[in-house]
Amino acid sequence: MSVYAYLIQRLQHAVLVVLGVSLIVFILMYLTGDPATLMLPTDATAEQIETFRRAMGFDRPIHEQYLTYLGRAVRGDLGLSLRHRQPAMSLVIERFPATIELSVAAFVVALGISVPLGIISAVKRGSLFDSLATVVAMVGISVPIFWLGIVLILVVSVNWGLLPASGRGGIDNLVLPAITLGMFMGPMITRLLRSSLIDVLKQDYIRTARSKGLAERVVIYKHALKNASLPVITVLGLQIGAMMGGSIITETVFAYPGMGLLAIQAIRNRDVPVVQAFVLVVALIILTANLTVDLLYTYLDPRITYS
Amino acid sequence: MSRKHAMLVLVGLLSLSLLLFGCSGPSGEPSAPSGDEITEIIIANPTDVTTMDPGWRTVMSDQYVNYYTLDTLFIRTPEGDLVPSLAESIEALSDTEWEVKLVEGVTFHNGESFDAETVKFSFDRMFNPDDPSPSAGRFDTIIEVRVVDDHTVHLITAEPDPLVPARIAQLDMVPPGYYQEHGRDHFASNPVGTGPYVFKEWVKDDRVVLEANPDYFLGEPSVPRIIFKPIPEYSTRLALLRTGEVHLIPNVYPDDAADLGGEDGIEVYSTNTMRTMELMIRPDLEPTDNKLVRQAMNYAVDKEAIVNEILSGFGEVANAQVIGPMYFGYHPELEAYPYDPDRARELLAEAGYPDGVDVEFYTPAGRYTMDTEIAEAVTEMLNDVGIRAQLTKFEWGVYAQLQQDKDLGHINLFGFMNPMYDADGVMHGLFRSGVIWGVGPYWQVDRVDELIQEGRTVIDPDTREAIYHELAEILRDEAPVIFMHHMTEIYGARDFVEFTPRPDDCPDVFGKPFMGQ
Repeated sequence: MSVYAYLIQRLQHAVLVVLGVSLIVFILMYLTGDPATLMLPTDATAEQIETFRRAMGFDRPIHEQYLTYLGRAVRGDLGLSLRHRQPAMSLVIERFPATIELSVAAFVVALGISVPLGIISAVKRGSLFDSLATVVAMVGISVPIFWLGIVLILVVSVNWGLLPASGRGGIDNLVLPAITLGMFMGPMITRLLRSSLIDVLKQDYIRTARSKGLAERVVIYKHALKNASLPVITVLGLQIGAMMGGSIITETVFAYPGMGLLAIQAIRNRDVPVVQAFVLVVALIILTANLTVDLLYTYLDPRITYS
Repeated sequence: MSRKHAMLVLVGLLSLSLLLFGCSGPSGEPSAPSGDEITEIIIANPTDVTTMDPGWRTVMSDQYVNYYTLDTLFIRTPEGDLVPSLAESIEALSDTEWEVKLVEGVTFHNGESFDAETVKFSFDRMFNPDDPSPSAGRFDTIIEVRVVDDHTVHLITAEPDPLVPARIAQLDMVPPGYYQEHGRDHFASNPVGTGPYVFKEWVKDDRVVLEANPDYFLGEPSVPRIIFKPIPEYSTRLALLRTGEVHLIPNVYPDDAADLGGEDGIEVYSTNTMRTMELMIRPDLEPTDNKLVRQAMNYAVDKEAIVNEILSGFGEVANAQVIGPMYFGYHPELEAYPYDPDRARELLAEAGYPDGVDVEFYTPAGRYTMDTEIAEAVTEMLNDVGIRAQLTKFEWGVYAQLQQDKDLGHINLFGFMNPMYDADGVMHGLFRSGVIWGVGPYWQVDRVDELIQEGRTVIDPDTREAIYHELAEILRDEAPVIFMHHMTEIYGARDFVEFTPRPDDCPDVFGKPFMGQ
């Protein structure tokens, strides 16, 4: 199968996935509460609530509401936010750069820490450094993300007064959220890279490379690391979804104005159009990430073909 | 890993944690401007603003911005007194017609004049059939706002309504020209009012910036700029107050108040709010359809202990009624049910349940101050007397839906308030048969319905007071709720903030002036 045929097939799958996700989210939001109850003051009467539900279209059967939503969505209109009275997709897109900025910074932190740690641990297996890196990685995996964020705020911002504890602006605002979210992924990559590299370093072709007299640096970085990174990249692709979940928590703890913060408020308020727009954007990010990973395989391992 | 390595690693980690947590106090003290150097005050809220259109506001953050940028015809002082704001006076011409004289010479921030047409427009827009305001119900006893001259309006009601002055204290004035030219959605993010502060900027999920209005008709405010920042996480709000990145936070937890108040540069404020906590009891389910069981529940719960132990003393035990002393209609002579577990057991036996009863107890989690802790304590107390309560906790949205579906448990935790400072809103909202909140969906007591209806249609204050006193006595006896406590709101502020807590939760950091001051 050519790469184009493969891409078309994946795009068809993506449409089905997005449709399925939107339907599930719509039903779940419908089942967990009527937005009118949350929007009207608690002294509203039953008649006032009913009038409001009719005006907003909440009184119609769920399948009608969903089909109306879908009809608009295919024309690019995801509806108005029930709370903000602005186009739901615009609200999400406005915050998209902030979340991407945070995610990229977190990736940099995660890879910046985990790749050297993983390589050195694998090469110096059984050393004090390896033990230390193993313990740090285990602690990192075990620490809940919200706890780490709060501890960083208390220590770095409150006790030491070094960095701001909230908001978005310069690099200094980004440091603590990026470390928090980066620590969410970094330890796992360290562990995975270490074990993968240890396996690869036992392979015959590495022994051959060494016996040819190649420098150890060349053996590791040129020959071993490329193959050892395959499982890491697979997991990184899968972790994009988990990272979006992590960004919701990180953005909430640090009051970082990204998509996650918007989403959590929208879920609490049953702001269905905003939740749908957020889920759509996240689904597209995850699908794109997974597709990118699949395409990267063929670069890293030419034996892999599209089928 | 060898044992030697493991020991070294552990020692290293311990040293690191000592370094991190052993530090004493903040090293970078926030700059604390002296009184006349204050350029801005930053207030941290749990949520961002959703809209700045007062007709569609849904969260406290929206109301805060409205309080600073817009005005109403009448306003409440921090003590709860109703005083004129954009109105000079109000007078009942008959049982169904009120005359309001307006202040002259007031202009909106965009230069538009405030006059009688403004009042009419601000009222009429709430009832747009294609886009009704969620708050329209607060004003629907008024059927017409009639413009008499530039500075006089008549408010016409279908039935006699004693609450007209209190109702219009909820109606914010918006500029008709600006609103019609730009539309509601634009106004929601670019509000224009007559208030003491002018809206400058809203960076979503980051800040709302307001600047002092030099032409405010009651005088220029003392604080040049006020900024609202949404900080959803409570621990972060506390940390930011300590670093000085924000200057005022509402919703401080009672068990943090003492620590916070003892820190340099921070003051703690508290005030009784309009909200009273109750545990609604369903009179339509067995065994809580029995009045004696409901009374037993009231005797079984030690309200003093809950206020003192769980709320650290921040709260006031309600004297067996669901409104506090600042409401019109409050009954000062009612007595709270004393904590008397023996009496509770006797009443259960008398009701035909000597071996106790099993009940479902539902509570929202995270909606009210210490709600789950209170619910857990109450569960223990009920179990002690043989009322075996099965506690289930819900996210607020799900809980509200259960209430609307009439699907709650035997006992359900709620906190209610009504911004009109009048018994009517709470009594009608909770106990009138057929309403959607409180006990209303689950019972019908004719005398209660009659009194509630009379209370909202009789003009004479003495007669109304007598009505609400009788109603309170009936409710104490019927015990459709476990009467709990009036809630206290706690704020933390940097010491340079001159702060006046208000019972309606609007944090006033500039000392809003009132007519005649």
